[in-house]
Amino acid sequence: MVPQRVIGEEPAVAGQDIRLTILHTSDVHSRLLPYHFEPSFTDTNVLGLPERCPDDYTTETSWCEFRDYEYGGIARIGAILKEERQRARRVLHLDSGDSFQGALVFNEFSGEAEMRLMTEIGLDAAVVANHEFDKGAANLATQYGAWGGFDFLAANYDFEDSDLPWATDLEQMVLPSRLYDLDGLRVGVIGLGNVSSLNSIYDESNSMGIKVMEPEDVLPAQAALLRSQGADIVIALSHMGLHRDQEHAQWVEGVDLYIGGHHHIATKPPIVVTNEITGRQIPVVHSGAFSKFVGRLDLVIRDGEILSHAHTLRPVANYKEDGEYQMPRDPRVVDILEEYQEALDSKINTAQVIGYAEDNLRRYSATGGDSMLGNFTAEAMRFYPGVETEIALTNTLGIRADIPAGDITLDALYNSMPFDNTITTMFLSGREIQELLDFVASRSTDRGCSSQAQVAGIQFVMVCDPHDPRAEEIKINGMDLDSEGTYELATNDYIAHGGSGFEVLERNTTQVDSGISIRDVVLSAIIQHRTLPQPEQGICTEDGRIDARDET
Amino acid sequence: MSHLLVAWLLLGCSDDSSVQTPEPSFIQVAGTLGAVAEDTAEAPLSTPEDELPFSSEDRAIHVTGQTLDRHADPYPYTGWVEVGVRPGTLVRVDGGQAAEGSDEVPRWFAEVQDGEIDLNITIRSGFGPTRVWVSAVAGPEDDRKGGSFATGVTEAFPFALPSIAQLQTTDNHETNPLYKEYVTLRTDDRQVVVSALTTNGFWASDLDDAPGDFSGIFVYTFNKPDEVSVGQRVTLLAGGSEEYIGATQLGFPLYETEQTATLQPPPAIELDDTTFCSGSQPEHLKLEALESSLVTLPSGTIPSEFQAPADPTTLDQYSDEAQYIEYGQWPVDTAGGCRFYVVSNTTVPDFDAFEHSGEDVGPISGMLSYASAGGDIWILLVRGPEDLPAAGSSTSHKGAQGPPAPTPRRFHRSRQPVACGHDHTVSSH
Repeated sequence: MVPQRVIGEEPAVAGQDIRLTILHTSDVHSRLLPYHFEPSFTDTNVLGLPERCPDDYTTETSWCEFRDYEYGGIARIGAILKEERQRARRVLHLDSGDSFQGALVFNEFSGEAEMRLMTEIGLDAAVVANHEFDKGAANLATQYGAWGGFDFLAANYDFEDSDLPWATDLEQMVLPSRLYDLDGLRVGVIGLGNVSSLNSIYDESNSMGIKVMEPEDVLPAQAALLRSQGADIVIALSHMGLHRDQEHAQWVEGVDLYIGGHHHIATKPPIVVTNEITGRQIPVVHSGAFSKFVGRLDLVIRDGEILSHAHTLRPVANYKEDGEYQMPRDPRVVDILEEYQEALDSKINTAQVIGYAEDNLRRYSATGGDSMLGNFTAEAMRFYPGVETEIALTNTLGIRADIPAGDITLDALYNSMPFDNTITTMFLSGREIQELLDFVASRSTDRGCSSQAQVAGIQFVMVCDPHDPRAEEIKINGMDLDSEGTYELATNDYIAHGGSGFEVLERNTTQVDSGISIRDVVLSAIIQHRTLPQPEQGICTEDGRIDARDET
Repeated sequence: MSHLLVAWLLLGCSDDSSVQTPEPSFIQVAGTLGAVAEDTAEAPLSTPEDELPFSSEDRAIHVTGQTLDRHADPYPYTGWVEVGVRPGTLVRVDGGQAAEGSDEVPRWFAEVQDGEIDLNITIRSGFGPTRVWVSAVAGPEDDRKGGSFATGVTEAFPFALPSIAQLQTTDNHETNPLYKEYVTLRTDDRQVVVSALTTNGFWASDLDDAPGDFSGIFVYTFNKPDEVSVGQRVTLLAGGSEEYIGATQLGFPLYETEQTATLQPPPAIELDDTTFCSGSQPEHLKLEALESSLVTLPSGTIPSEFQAPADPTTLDQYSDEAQYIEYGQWPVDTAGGCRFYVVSNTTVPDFDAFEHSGEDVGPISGMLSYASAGGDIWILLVRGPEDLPAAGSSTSHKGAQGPPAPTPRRFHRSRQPVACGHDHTVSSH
């Protein structure tokens, strides 16, 4: 049965212009509570996120205000969505996945809060994305089964292993697509889960009993099916990343619009791709990550064709005066959120100050090489009592956010290091170190020559040459790499198991999982050093240990 | 009969299974186009074959139409409509009311009587299939208070796609006529060439326009673009029109080039003091026409006060020395004292500007860029050693205080002490 929003006499839509409003979120990553961070140039100047004046400013300017802005937060998103629904008639709220993982609330409640609150804000459909599986497929089934009140879509995930207890549940819960009847306008939505990240969790045949298919193998059939059921337009709700969405928009027939996520990019303006088969203009929109934006796409449709579109991106920010938030929040969401906040507060004081940052502690380097937080994390891993290895290497994307200048709170640490990864140690030969760093260069070459790993005890030149990506001039604690030598490495258990394609680590048979949380190690190091960075001591600074050379 | 029952009947005998929707349900509109705002003569909408020229000048459109009910019968709606144009800019609605919109673009509203729509509007910068939107809303004060949001659009006005110069030509050097639009540029009937490459994008120049007449643009690709080389003809060029610290670029681009390089990029334009500077100050509007084109400074002296600091940690973060250490950007003064900046650290890494303090290191060539931050500066982005012959005579090597190791980023000066470079971060675990 097709769900209907308006029950009654069918409107005479044939030949008429129909307006459809898509409200869009993506990659919320557990940012249910508002947070502080230093917005990037693109966040503020291109995407419209308000910017707080620096401490040494005495007057407001056109680009900053004297507001102690907090960003994101599901209660503010809920209020924005309500406002936007009041400004529209036929509305769908679609989310492009990865609502799990990224803040303490996920570590403590395993996705319950995300499922419950995404339901509360009136979400119509979400795609099942890779981080939804971060606490396992069984957990996903449990949380969605208990709290999910929206359609969960993924046409390219086949929960194939009926011997696994959760597979049958997910098979029933996760739909390939859904057709919505919005007062006579029939809108088909197809879910497209991520392929590479899900496969990389446990290599090609992941142990979650999920067969992952390429979108181009499922999209045409699903689109045709929806059309046969009367769909006026077909939307791909995707977690494939922007480039794949662009490719599919250009080459796959039958989809009118792509609403995407995964790369944490917000498109403003939306991208418009001409489909090579039909000649139609296909909008592609992404709305960023960490609950910073709500996208709104308005379409005018006539007889199954999108005639025109308009797009806005609403920033999600709020600030307090006299202890009260000054921008509306959804009161029902606030009430639910307080339950989780109180439960968190009873377990851990997230506002506890653990150190002080004199500058924004950056997870990325301006030069593409080593970064402040990357070096600090790798050094903390390497020197932690009980670990004490010669070298350390961790993936850059394991650090999810900068730590903003000012007091460093536990909340900021969890936002920066949300993953519950532990330290794994292993012995590698010099040849394997070369292979490992060559892989880092290869992976980084495809990502703007921005290093995808952070290191301690290692110095090298990362040559981003698409034809021959490689690591050169490798030194281990100041000495040239000995290809016949043996080195003990501390790394994180995610890449030790082959995550993000680190096969040279996955196949190593000397692995020992220390069980030591990397976040706890970094916490300990922050408490030890109190104030960061300390340039004179070379603590939490970029020192050029990874020299990124772009030869693309 | 009770008041409650009367109300129930007036509401259309609705019950739990039937939800009344506000009227009108539909809007049908048509548009006729005037040549320019001052020209009151109307002409019927062109056929798709009769492409309308792109123009950032005002153009008048007469919009007529009617509102319809749920059965698509005429509905005598009296109330407000919101008017818009996509793509392009709505300049005004005669007799209408403007209200604050997002991104500093005003929203326009007009009143409609008895379902008859009759509006005179003015637009500019429409490109490709361009349609006027008319939507029934509560009004300009607060559109959350109701309205049916029935929307009608005109048939498409077939405006031509803009050329690079039409996108770039502006009398405000910090913006462009199509700012924040996703735009496909004209390439099929023009000679557009890849004029230079860098690590995160390429420059394209339109050879059908005079060199340096707003004819260049930077295409930001994040990674170095695949299979693109200087001299190739560009056959598809689309992207979001962005201003990166005041420099126009296409973001998230879609592009195609011919495989073999067959075209000659335009020659360098000499930056002479008398034309491009007013005393010691750069002439912004004249230089804007050269943005993203190849330029040459015949001479340029690195100021003698530009010296390697004894203690870099004590530098003012906005000083030229600090910016050089952080981002590799160094100053040069022309003979007339007009200051430009040069970035060479990624392409001529052995050149240390500190060691040439006080020297004339001209000629210097590079792709011209602009940064509104840090004092509205013009920057030559050196393509390679051939653009900086003085580097060939240099015996210096990168010192401890010199520019950083070659960076993968095109230089951009930031308004704040934050990491420079683009931040269209691509992230996934």
